[in-house]
Amino acid sequence: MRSLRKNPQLAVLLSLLVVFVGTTAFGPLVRADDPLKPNILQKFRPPSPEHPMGTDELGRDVLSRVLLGGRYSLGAGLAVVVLGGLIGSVVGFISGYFGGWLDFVLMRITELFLGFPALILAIAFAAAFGAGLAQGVLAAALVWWPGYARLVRGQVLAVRNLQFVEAAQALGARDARVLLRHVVPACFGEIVVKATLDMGLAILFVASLGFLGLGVRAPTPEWGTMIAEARPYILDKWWTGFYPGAAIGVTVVLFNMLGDQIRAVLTPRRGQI
Amino acid sequence: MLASLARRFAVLPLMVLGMTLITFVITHLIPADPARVAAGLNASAEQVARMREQMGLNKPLMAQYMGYLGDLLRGDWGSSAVSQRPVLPDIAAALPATLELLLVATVGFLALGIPIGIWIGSSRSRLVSALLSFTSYLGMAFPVFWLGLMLQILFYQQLHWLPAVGRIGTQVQPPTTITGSYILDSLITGNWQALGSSIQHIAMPAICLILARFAVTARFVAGGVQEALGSDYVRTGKAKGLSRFSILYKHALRNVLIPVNTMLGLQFGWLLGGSILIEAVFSWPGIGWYAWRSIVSLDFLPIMGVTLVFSVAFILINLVTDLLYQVLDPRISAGGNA
Repeated sequence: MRSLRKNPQLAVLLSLLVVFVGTTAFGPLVRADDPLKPNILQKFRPPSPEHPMGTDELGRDVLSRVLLGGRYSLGAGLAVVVLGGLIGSVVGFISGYFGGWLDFVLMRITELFLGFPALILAIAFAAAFGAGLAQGVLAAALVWWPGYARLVRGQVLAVRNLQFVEAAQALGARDARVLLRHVVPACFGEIVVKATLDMGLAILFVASLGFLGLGVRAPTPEWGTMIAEARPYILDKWWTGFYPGAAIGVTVVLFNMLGDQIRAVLTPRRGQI
Repeated sequence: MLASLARRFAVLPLMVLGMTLITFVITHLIPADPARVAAGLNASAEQVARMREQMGLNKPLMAQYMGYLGDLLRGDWGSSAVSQRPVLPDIAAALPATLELLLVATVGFLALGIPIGIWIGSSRSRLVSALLSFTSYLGMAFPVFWLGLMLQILFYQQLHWLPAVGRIGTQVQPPTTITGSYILDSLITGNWQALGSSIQHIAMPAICLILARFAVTARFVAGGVQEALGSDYVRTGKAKGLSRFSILYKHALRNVLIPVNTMLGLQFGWLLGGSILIEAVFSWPGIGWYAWRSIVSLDFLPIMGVTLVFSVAFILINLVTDLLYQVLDPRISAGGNA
């Protein structure tokens, strides 16, 4: 709380984000229009007071769909970061803490995954898994973890020889206890910063897969698939694809700025850029 | 330096081998029925059976992997389930279009990003640098495929300035193939009509990639310039009475190029992914477009072919930036014991 008062920018960003997430969480309940039910008589209405973002090719209210889509996009982004972060952190902790051949093998695997261009590897995974939101998230998470593995391993190496860890070991604590009680908490800040910065990127990533027709499929109104759906009509009816893309952009900017601010609060040594 | 060079080249085949292990897992182990996935959605039972035989799915895993590797090395990357055409020649035919687009985009975002970065890094205005940060946020935040669609609405639909899709006008004869680049080939052969049409067609997809990346480059360069300007050798230069120009361009810039070079390798990974999205939007007949059409029809083997080609390209580019790194930074090349 103290850091919030000292850092008004962070406070503003956080409240913006709360409003944003709140709107996508509760917005679909407030909007009367069914985001999934076609209403062909209303198709391709340009933005108006009744439909602030217009209607799409099936006469569905774009605003309602963008709001509902926020749930899928934000949810999928969060799932990718959590899953990828979890896999990567576990690999990083094991690699950094135990060292030796285990470290060698795990790091070579990490490098292999980093050797692929991320989107392309995810496309290959998603194509093998088949369609579906969960499959898309899994494909993205499978290319997402190596960054965390490297980050966490570096952190663990920095922390491992500090006195409080040595003290715990000298007191006879088991490896698991040293890791969970002492090493993990010391690395937590950096992981949170990276995860926040990654949220936006993960949303973009899932949207790119959705646009290509992988992972999430229509009629699920994930923002990327909404743009793909709008594509055949977009040259004449710009509003069908404009708003989902704008929603992605705004969300990603918010998360990036938030990540930078959290970094400034959690790692004050580096100072402001 | 030679030793570290040799080490890098020795790692290369190992890295590629490791990658084939991952693509093997994706093609042979992940799908519930690999033969069905590889044979395509509309394959008959007979075709699936033939594919099963071809992939050696009833053999032990190690034998399967060896067979897979052998096929790759022989240039047999399988065939498209839709067109029945072999994958590798189709990718090779699409390569020049992608190379041309990526080259123009890279030159573009460097030509824009480096000067802007130097200007901002050496200016003391906080407003200017805040503005740059914000622009780079925007460039990274909005999906590049969405940006492409928006540009199509503006420059094609509204203003009628540029064509929306394709690599050259449908009424225009492509230039004789010499380098594979339409722009260069039409310049060489003096085919002005083809030149004009190619430039018009490449403009929008290239602008998209440039818009998405130039601010990131500029921010990177600006950070480097700021750091360099605070260093000892710059203070010495100032004390010697060197001009601002000489300090900035003769001394600081060279040091800034080192991180820029590293960044370029990473940018390339993004560009390869971006090329699939952008080529899909602009029907640019390159590897990305080929990949996109395969994705849409769930044509599995072409997708895996593109995955391999792009990954090897990514490794090679990173090798080149590593080598350049050694040229740019004499501290590393001297003896290699840094």
